[in-house]
Amino acid sequence: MEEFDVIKTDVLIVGGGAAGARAAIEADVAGAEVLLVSKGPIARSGLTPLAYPCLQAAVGSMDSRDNPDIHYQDIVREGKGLSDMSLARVLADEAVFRFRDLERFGVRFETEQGKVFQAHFPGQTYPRNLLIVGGGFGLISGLKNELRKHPRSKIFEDFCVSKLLIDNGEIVGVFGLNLRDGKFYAFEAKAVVLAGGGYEALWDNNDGSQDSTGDCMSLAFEAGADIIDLEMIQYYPGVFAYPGSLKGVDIQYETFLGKQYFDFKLVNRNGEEFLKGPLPGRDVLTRMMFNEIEQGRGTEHNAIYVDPKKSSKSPEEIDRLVKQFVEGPDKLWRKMGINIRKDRFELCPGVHYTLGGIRIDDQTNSSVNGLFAAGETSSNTHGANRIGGNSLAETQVFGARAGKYAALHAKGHSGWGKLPEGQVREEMSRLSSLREKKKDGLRPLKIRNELRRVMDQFVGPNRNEEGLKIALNKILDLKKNALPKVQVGGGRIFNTDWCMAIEINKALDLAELIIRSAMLRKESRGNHYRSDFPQTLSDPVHTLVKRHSNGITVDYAQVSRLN
Amino acid sequence: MENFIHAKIVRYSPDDIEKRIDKFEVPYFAGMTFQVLLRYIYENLDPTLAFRDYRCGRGVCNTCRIKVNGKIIKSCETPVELDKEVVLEPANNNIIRDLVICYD
Repeated sequence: MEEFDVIKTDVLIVGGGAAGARAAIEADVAGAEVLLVSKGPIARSGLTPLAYPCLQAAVGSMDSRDNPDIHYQDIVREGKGLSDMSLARVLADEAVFRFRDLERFGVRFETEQGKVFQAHFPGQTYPRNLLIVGGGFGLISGLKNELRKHPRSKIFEDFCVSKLLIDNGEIVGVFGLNLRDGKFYAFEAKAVVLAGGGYEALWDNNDGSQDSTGDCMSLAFEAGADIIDLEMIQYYPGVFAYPGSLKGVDIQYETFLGKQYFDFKLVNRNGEEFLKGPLPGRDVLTRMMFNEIEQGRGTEHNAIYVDPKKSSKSPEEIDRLVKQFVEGPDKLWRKMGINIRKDRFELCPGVHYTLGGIRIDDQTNSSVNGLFAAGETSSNTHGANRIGGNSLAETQVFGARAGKYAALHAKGHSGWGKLPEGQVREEMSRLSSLREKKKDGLRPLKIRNELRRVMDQFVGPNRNEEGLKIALNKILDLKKNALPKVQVGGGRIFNTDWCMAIEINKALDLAELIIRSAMLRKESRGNHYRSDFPQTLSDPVHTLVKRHSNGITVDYAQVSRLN
Repeated sequence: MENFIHAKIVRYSPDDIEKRIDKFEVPYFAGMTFQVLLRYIYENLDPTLAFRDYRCGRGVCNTCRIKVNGKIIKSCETPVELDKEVVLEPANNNIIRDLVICYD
């Protein structure tokens, strides 16, 4: 009979990024025994290492008129009515304190003339973006160093969580596969924090890390938690589409397309400059580029050309701008065969941040007892549109809260319940069966690639009923006909296909929920745009998906307001 | 006429007694990186090849380090040269499997 190891802990954290690491530190400080599991190596996987340096906190360093009240107002306004106000309030109030924590942990921030520097980003009333030295990598390295000072907390890297264990409506642990030794583990815990990042990797065009498959949303959904606003996806308009070595890499498109900078032009496959006038905001630019591609005027790689030759700047000026803005990346791009001074290159909009996720209250409780969520996995602090810099701030504010309240919840338990062995054995058997030989066996990679193409084509920046229906049918077909054929070869240790096989059924489930949510929201608001419902309705509501014993519901939910 | 890279990869798993060398022929295109080469092998030639593929693609996450012809490089930002033999090995001796290592 197949065996599994059992490890007990107080607080189990799923996800080793900025939110998870911050939660681990806080839970340990609160006296809990902590175990953190991460699908890859900490600081070398997931989304945090790729993050831009911006962290928003109203310290008022550049402009003393700034304060948390104004930060709060900015969040709610940009969120287009969909921000849960209690969460926005907490983010604005506590970002300042979490910034001070990071300084204490040794994370460094850019300074200017002796003061901490704050950049002014669109959507901020006053300059509010602190800049972390080393960006996301600098942040997670600092948190990892701080976590090392709490040696009682344990870390399991290269661990793939496949199921949450629930008993009597309460979380009792998680089950999964340790990729390093190929063994199954059941972790018993008194509280679980889900901090596994977003679900960007469900689209082929994304600028994130390809392990961001939204596992935590699917795990929580299966456990009965409320999941909201899954259709809200934020795009970045300037992602390399080609060559393969640069696919998914962002560029500072504002610098390349801005008249005062490089002044390069966006051009479709027919050589037409379809962008007239000044560079529009991100969501409008994304839709314009997507429309060109969707209507057959994109490049052979489903992208848009950026043409340096149509610039008004002289070659000397362009050379100077390269040295000023992109000297390092330019060297790399030239190795890849692209000289931006004279070669056309190809950009497309890429999924950049996912606004939907596990619904939380301001203590990061999900609707399942003992299950907490923080960071990009949770929802909905930002509403329908997020200001740059609020994502890293969110990881620190709610990561710390999740650690604190999960530890408190664990304190209220004197011991662990009985391990639901039936659930464990059933899941273990399912995971083992993935490695059995099947007639017409399919690699999970094939299903993943098909899923990503469907999401790119039909669940992109511009949606409509017909396209969403096609997408839904394709996903349901994959679930019914392709998923049962998944077959994984190779051994037990570090089997990448096995990990992908564990991810893929969750990814298909999540894709179905995203599409159903997009179908429910018959309006356009922030990052969700429907060409068949371009109006914004007067009363903002969340979309909410939930699993019950007799099926799933896709419904509306009230946005939480402050009194 | 299509050009090919003749790649040799040193492979090892704790189940094995000793390391072995596998040879792969990968279609070449100008500007391809080692990460693209590894991904090609994994997707088309051998699904059991183990390597870290988080694809930050910008040399930031430091995950993609491997040893090529004795020198440690980041596979996401190092182009493959056509006329050289390439031998790929893990970046250190803390081998989990194939090119996947323990960093600490």
